[in-house]
Amino acid sequence: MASQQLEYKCPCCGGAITFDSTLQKMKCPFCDTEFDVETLQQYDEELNHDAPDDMKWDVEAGDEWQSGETDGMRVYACKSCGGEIVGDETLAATTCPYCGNPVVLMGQFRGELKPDLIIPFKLDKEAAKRGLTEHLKGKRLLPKIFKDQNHIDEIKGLYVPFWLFDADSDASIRYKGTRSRSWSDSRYIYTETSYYSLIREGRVSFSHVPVDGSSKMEDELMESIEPFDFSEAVDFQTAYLAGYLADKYDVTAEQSVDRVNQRVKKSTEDAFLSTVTGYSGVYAENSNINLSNGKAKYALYPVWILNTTWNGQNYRFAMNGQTGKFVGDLPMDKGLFWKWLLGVGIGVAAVIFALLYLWWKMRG
Amino acid sequence: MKKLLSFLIALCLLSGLVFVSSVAVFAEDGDNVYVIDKSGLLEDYDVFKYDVVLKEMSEERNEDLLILITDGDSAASLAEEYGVEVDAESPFYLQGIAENYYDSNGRGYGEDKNGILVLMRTGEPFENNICVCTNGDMDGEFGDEDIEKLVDSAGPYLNEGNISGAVSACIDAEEQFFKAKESSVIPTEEELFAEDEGKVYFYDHAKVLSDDETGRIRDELKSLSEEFGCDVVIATSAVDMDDDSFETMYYDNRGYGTGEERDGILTVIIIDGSNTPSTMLSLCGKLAYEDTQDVKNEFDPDYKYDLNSNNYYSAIRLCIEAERRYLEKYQESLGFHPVKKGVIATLIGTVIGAISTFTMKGKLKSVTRKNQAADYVVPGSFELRDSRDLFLYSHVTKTARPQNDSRSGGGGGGFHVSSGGVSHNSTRF
Repeated sequence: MASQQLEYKCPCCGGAITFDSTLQKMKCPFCDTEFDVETLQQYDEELNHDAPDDMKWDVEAGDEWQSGETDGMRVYACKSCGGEIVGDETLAATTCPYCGNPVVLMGQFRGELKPDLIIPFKLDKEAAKRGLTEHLKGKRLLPKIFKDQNHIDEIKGLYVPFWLFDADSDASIRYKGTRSRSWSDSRYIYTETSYYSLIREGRVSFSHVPVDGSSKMEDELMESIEPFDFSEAVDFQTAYLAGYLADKYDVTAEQSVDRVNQRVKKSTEDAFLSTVTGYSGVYAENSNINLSNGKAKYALYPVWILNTTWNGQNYRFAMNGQTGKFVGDLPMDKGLFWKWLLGVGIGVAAVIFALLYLWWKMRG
Repeated sequence: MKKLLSFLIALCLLSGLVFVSSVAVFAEDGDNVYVIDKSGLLEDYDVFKYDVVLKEMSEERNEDLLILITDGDSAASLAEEYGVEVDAESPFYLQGIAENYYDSNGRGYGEDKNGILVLMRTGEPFENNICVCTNGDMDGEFGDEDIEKLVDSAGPYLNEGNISGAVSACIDAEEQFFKAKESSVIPTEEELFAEDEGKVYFYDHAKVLSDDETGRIRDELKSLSEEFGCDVVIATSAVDMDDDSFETMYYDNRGYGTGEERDGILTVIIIDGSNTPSTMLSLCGKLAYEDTQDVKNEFDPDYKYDLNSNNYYSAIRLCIEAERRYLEKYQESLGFHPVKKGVIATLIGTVIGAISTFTMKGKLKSVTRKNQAADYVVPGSFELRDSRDLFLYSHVTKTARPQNDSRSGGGGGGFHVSSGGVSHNSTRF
């Protein structure tokens, strides 16, 4: 009968550990660290549980349009950037929300998936204009002329397509933790560092994690205006589109899965890390996350968009049409930058010089 | 014959059994243990901590330094083991236990079994609840006075039940003993300063200069002191003491130092014959707030060479020149120096200007990636099924504390206020 030789790896240096009959403990011949047999067995069992992540989703989302639902909807195309948007038949001449150039009517909207849900616009154009004005306030390095030439009236309400993901995340994570304590006598400072293996297992659920389904909308821009309050979402009806534009999705749910996996995995790891307390240093050695009940839905979320060009560069601003959160990177006036740097620098230097002189005088 | 043989075999077996049992009993108090807590009152961490310290001291001093802690019951149990048949309140009770424990556990360093065992008994404050048992070379050296100091410092802690404090006081007393042992015999002030000479600025107690050379050095130091408005004192010494003793004897008690804070410099050149000469330098009064390295940097490399070659007059003259250069630079540094201060102010201004401008620049950026989905966690859905913390192993490292480069422990090195009440900043080289 073949015998099976059990080998344990040293948690400290990775070498093969042997049993020291004098100590009656396991001891690593390479780094001389000693371990209890029972502790090593438990640690080895945990190492054997390590497995890769299993994150699968059911991405069948959206519905078929019912007869007559799309009758009032038209597709408009921008000859400049190629973007296609959907609007209702009453929409007059307008400009492309992506590049600001005029759009032309292409024809009747047909086909495509019907969204499952929509969050209707809660804030109007005036609120969006106020949002922009507030966003530009207090930015000392913003070029003045930028504030003046902003085409603020061209701000547009656009329904942006999103894929919303629900899942239950089951995780098993192993951390390495350290604790230190010190004491001293007149000649030496002693430091004892203890090493622990920390195992955490459990589950956490996610609901409606959004990933934007339009390649024309930068993911970073859409993520910056989160979160949306899903409690105000309603079943989709074309009537909500009246007066607004809507983008069609061109990024599928399958293509969005990687992004949502990253976010769900990070949040799961953060949630379990928060249960590890009382250690001076902690890092994750291994993490295994399995998703179950993973589902996707197709929704339209309200966003106010403004594109503006300044000095040959395109700047895009977005406001969450539900919460009013306004984002958008702004240009910097280099001249103002240097003026502030030198002004503050010289001012502070003068004050410090004066203080040094006073201090020297007081010292006598 | 057969019966006799059987009897002898049985006797051998019984003896072996007794021997093994004794070893088993004492095996738990085996090698490499310096704090033995039979009372169970000391925290595990404190046992471990003090054990490490005593092991260190034992290896350094080549002495076996042990502390054995008992309570009434464990002391009685040990007394019974060793056959100590005196009253528990008798001073010989703990002494008997201590001596037997030391011998039967094979403790002691080297052939002479050098070492000290301190036996403490906790509980009701009996009069004789600390016993110090000395062996080998410690027998004559760790005398009655040292034992009394140890008992006086550890006893109060023991009587109030602070075992950790008692052990720590015991270790401190032993450390003080070993430090004092290393010091040379220190002469008294009366022996050193036979007559009240007033401020002479130079003392040749090592008797390395002629009278003529002594006179010249004194004149030079007097004029140096008057020129810079602070007392510059140099002495040669045939014995080494701690810095505080030198400062008190040669500077504070001699009335040196100008102004309210008694500003000046004291230099003592130690020429005790058994080691190469060394120098104790102390900046005094207001000068104590300056860096001693600045003075050391002014010393010519020939200074050490002259000292080692017994050219003491030349060495002392080099010392005077170094201290003159230092005092010149010090006086100059007391000025304002607008260029230097301007550079400092500009650097700080630039840093603050950069911080504020980059902060303003940061406000222009509001688009950021979201790497997590914390906003979308279903409230109350977090469930922790398993949470285990497994202890793997631990390491102890030790780092030497910075010491003064002095041979006699350098008591008072660095900035301190001497027992004479004057600020000093001393160093040795």
